[in-house]
Amino acid sequence: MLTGGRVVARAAVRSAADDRVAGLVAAGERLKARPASEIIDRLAAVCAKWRDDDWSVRRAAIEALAVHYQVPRLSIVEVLDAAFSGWTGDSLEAWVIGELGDARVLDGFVANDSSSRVAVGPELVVAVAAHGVPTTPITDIMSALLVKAPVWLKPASETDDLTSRFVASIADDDPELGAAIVVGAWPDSPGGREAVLRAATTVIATGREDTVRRLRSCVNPATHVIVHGPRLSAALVTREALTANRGRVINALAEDTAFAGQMGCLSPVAAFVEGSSDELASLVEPLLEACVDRWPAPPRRDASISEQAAFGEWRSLMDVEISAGLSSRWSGDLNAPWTVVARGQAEPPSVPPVPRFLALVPVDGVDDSIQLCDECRGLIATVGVAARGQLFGDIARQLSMAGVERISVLGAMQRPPLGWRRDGRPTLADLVRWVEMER
Amino acid sequence: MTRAAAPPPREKARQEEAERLDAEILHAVGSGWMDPIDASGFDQLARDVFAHQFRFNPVYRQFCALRGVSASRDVAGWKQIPPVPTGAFKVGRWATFPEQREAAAFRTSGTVQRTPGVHRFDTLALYNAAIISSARRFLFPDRKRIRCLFLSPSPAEAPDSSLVHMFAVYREVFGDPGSAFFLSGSSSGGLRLEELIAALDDAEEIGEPVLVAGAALAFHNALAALGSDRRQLPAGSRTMVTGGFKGALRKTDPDAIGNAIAARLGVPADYQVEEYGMTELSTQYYDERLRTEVVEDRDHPRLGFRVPPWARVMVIDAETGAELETGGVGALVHFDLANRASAVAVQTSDVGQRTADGGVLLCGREPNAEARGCSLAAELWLEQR
Repeated sequence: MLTGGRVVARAAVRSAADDRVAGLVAAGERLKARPASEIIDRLAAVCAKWRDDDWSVRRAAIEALAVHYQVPRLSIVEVLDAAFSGWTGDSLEAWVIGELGDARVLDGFVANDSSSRVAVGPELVVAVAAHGVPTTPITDIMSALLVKAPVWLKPASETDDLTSRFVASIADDDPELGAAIVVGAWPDSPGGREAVLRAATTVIATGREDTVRRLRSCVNPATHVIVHGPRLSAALVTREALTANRGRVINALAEDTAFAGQMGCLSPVAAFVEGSSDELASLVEPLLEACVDRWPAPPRRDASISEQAAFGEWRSLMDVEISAGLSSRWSGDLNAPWTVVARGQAEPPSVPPVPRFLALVPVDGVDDSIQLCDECRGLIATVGVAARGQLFGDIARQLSMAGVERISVLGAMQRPPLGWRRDGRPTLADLVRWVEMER
Repeated sequence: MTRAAAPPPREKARQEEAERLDAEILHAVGSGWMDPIDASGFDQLARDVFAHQFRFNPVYRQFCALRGVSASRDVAGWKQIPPVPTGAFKVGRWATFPEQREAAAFRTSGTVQRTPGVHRFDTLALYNAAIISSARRFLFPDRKRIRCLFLSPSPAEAPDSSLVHMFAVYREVFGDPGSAFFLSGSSSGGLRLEELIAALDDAEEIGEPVLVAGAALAFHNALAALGSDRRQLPAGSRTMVTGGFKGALRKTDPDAIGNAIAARLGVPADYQVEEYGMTELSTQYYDERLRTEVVEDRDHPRLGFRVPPWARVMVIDAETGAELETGGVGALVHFDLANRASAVAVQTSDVGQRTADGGVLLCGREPNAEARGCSLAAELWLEQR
């Protein structure tokens, strides 16, 4: 059987997985016949519903996520609103135009200076999601649909069900669009996972290196594999910003850190702060309180043994630093939902020993912060900067030279525009294949 | 004519005490498994080393005070010695001796570590003795010498690496002519493939067994570079793989590497020795599969890494610090007499368990570990040694 020029199943005996994949690819063919503007309109309409406080589907999702993460509904509302408030028809169209130049190139050849070109989306996208911010997998789905590609999204194990709810809302609004999406684990049948991956022309993977390595060995050599991660984020607080409005800085830093329980790589795990050790120490308790306010998750008493071990070693290290005369100060043990530490010495951001952990790192000046980021070149996703006036632009320029991929105002780290260059790369433009016509 | 100034009395006392301790520790290491130091001997010597470190490392003394130990006599047994986290080797200068007495220093590697951990030595006598004693028992129980092919840079290229130093000791003590290092530069890249292929071809042609040794990641890269050719190294050839066994930091699948070694190098599983070590320790642990195969009168090797008589491993509840019973899974604390000049007790975030017969099993990350987003993957960037 040939669909879209690709052999989907050639074995004499077709498996259930093969059938599901064939169904997806067929739905993708139907998608490709629709105008891009229509797909944008339908996605925008569904996202608009998700902004409606009175919509029963949204309310049920908030309820379910609040139970899943054991946080108040308000914490979940903030996560949903941070995403859906930016997902409008205008922003979706701007995303497509920003990356492809013209949305019509998805519908057919569009004349250019000397030729015409069309952007063809993949025959099948398989997206493998990692644990993270609940709305992140939805952007993978939307990006596939915007380039008219059907998508199989494999969620992280034991994750929340927001993505499934979102997809159900699409199917409810536009069954044909819904038919082009599967959200689910790999098929149970023997070879089910391989069948799905073999059929993929593009695989998007977010996760650990070993996961990605295993994935690569399962896909066809010609399959386009797009890998996201690993990344960390940091904050940079200048002395003037802290002096001018300490309360605002604390709120903004907590806003970025505590968003979705620090599950995403846009949440800072370290904040470079220009100030004395006493000043840093004085930020520990207010920041801890502000993080708990925003994401009051249960204590981490049931942290895994690995995390307990890492935290135990880290706690001993703090005692070593104190013994060595370094003014390390921290608050929030495993009986607390969060830990905030004012480090005694400057260090680049690193993976925290336990979830929900923020390190305040003392720096003498902006140059030190830039240097610390430079030492993690390729690892820093976003730096949220608290600086005033011209200084912000200067810092941003230097951070860009130090390998940082995105610089935002502190407090806005979690609200990147739809078309932001994740990992420094385009999203939609990475998915399409350009075809030129010259005559 | 000038005479060298005599050391101040405190330094003189330190030197004398260090020499006395070293003599006792060397005796324990040298006696090895044949006449192992007994429980009370270990306890006394561990407490003596602790007292030495308490006396001559003021930061450690302060650290002990935070742990409720205000004098060395407060410690009634080796299990009560306050363990130092591995991160302490990155804070200041973690050593009992003055800078001018430093004979060697090994550094932890890592992509994002601003300050590497540094393990400093005033003598390598204990370190080398520990390397030789354990390697002789577990890696070379049947041979005086063997040609060693190291998947690592040479000591000249990586003078700060404890792993490379260990290989250099192997070469010196156990290596036949032709022993060589096959990586260029200080990283695991830079495999000199043609030279490695020539050495492997040579071994097959001559029929003399070889040791191939390296970190798990180096094996992974080398096996990939060697392609799909299937070799059959001479009988008695063996491998030593280190690192890559800790679940949270796993870069490589040890089973996959073991299978690949068997299939591509022709080294059977019984001759694939695994080693556990870290820059912050002077003593290494090996599994006993090779020893069981060629020397011991047992059908199967005992499980886990074997801890030599001059060291102990305690498994603790990471939150309370309490020792767990055999089989309990918790954080590993190492007690290593050969760490006389640094820290006799070292706390790690490695998770494992003790077996009933004294082995140590390392555990992987639990499947229910709380997710931490894509940042979790970043830990894979950190080198283990």
